[in-house]
Amino acid sequence: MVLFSELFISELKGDPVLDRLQEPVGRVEDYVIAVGEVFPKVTGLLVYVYDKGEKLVLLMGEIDLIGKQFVVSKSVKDRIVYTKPKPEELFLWRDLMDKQIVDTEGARVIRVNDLKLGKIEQDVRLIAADVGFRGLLRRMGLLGFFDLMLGVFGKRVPDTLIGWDHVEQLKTGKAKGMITVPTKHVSEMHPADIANIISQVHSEERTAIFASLSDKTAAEALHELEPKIQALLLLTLDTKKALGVLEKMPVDEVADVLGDLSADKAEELLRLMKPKKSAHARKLLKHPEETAGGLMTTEFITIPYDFTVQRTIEKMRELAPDAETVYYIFVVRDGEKLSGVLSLRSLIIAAPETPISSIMVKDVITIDPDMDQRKVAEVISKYNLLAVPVVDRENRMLGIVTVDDVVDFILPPISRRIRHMLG
Amino acid sequence: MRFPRFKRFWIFLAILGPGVISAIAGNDAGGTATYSVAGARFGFEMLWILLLVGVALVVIQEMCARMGVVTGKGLSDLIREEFGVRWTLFAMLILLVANVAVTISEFAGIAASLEILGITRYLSVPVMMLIIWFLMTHGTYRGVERIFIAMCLIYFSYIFSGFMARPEWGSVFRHTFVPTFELDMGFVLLAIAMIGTTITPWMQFYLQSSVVEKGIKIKQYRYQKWDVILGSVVAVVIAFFIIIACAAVLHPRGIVVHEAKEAAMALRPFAGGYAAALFALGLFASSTLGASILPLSSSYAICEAFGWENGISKKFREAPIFYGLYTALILVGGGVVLLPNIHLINIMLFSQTTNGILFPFILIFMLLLVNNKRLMGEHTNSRFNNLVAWATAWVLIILTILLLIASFSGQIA
Repeated sequence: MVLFSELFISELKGDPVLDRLQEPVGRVEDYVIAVGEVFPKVTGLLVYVYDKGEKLVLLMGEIDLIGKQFVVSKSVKDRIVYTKPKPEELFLWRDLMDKQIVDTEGARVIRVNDLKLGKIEQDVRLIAADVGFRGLLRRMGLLGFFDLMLGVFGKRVPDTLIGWDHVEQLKTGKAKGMITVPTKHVSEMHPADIANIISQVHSEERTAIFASLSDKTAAEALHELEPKIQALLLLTLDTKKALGVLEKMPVDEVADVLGDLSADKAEELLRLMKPKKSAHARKLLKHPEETAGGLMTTEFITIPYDFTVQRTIEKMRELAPDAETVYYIFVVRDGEKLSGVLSLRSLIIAAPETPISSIMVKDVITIDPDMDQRKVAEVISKYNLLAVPVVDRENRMLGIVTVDDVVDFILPPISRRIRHMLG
Repeated sequence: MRFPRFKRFWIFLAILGPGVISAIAGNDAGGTATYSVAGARFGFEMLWILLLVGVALVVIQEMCARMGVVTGKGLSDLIREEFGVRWTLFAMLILLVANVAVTISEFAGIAASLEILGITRYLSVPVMMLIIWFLMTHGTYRGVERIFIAMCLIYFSYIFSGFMARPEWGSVFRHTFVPTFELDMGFVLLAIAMIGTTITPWMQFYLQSSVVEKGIKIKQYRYQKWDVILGSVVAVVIAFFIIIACAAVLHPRGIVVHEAKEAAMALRPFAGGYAAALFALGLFASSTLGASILPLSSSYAICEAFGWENGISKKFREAPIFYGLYTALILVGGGVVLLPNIHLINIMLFSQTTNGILFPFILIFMLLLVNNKRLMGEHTNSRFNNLVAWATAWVLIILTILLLIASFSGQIA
């Protein structure tokens, strides 16, 4: 079988299928493909056969030549063998054209304007998606005109192709099988990039992508989304997955997310969560969202006043996995009363036997839970802190606000993409 | 257990259902002008049209919301995915023309309302163009939006005014249920404008996207349905009383509304000496709301259909077409109003007529989509829905043909 080296599927749609004697027998309607490979193989053409008045599949083996404007079959009219299209078969035009796909290389959602076929060894395969202006013009039948006009200036409309190995299909497309086997899946991308993609697709696809992520990745991606989408995702995910994701999130973020849900739904999730985490989350939920209390986390490390450096380090090995930040160690006496702070650095460079009370900084900058979030950001930024402790009137530690909780007030929010404010 | 922030969230939801918002925003400059002029020129005669439009509005908006819930996609996405590039281009051109017309009428509304308060349009329009451009692109719009929506509640004062003007209720009821038709250019134009301002192309795109964004599942759909129905009913009831108030106050005095000031007099029975100020505030809020929503929602719809980068979180360099369109829409919308000798009321009416003429095209796309079994499964239209929607499309097409015949035979009133 012979194929022009490269071909866009829109170029051939509606073009005649000729038999061996150049007699027209039908017209090209769609392309049947086999899934499972990175570049899916085209196994046949869906042809509207004039004599039979229906659409039938002409397998590749029956085709002699695929030209730019016509297809020639190997047999004469009456001897061409067609097969009936099966419901499970995938068609390029019906299932992929004009649909949204994910460009895993560029981390964005794009729309398929056209699809490019190419010949790899003896097979015709789907090799790229055209997502640019050139594809749009070709579909409108205006490409020749534009190329002619620009040709006067020695230019042409640029191609924007994305290799089929770099795209991933959205999971809820009406197509039953997966037509893409990308070299990199959405689930392997950076959580911030995943969040960017999630905010660009519609709700069903959003839930599908999210459900396919590991709990840990999902937790990180969730943090990057705007509150409205976070709440929606938690509502549409099944409860088990939602709990898994919440379990992987720092408790202050859990409180933020739950705060945007209905009281019933939040209560349901809180009841099902691990008791320790839900108790912490409940405590945090009592503080208004826009204050230090609403921003803080209760996962921090405290060490009693009379510990030595050696003992402190041992204790940290135990506690660190749960703490949000390990760079500051808070020293407490008489229960939870804050008496100083240690940096990780001073802890490491000190001799093991040194009592921590002698190396800690006693002048700790603290804030109270009612402080406005912008004020908190100012404090953190002014003193160049990684975290600031929140204390009550008796100087008892309630939590810490870390720099990443307020970074959006210091820097403009880049990663928190807002897809739609409006229609 | 009760947390303070839950409460806020629920109040927010209770007030701002997409159905109710788009209904409130629907009573914008064009709507106010059309209903006022209808009441002032033809008395109660056009009320029956509004009743039928109300039924069509409920049916079409419900259809649109259902499509959003079942497919999880916006209207422009669906048109692109089901009809391909060429039809999408056609649909988007229709939407663009219709939306440019409405945007112009919104800026005309801003100009007219502030002129009542003594501010010249050559100051108010450029300033508002700038403010809207910045509010929307810098993401501070959400907070301001609620203020404007609250201000739109001023329109409820038409209900009081309608009662206090003591209309002849017998006549009101008769004209609501017994059709009268005048083969007069002005009547046909207003009839098209009245349908076009109540059921607009942009509202279908806006409503469906909002429903999709809310992520409503089909099981929860009946709540959404009530939001849409309630919104439509509110919109029509207000329109009804605008006509009644104008018919009762302006029509007997022979005032045909050449200027917004005259339309404001319809609020006199309720607001007395404050009628003009009240009317101006309401008109200003609804026009600003419309002028903010329309350019942005048009840019979103068009860019999504063609797969161009969009979103206010992107930089100009990343989404040049999106920002270009958005800016151009505001420039054209405001710019036309600043042309010398532009008659504000007429331009508002004209834009609604344009909407009415273009709407059938969008409606036909919607009908083909909503009756597509592969997309909608068991949720395709009922026979009644189809009947009402197709009838609406045909009535608009026939009225448009009548209008063409009338204008060619030189019966321009």
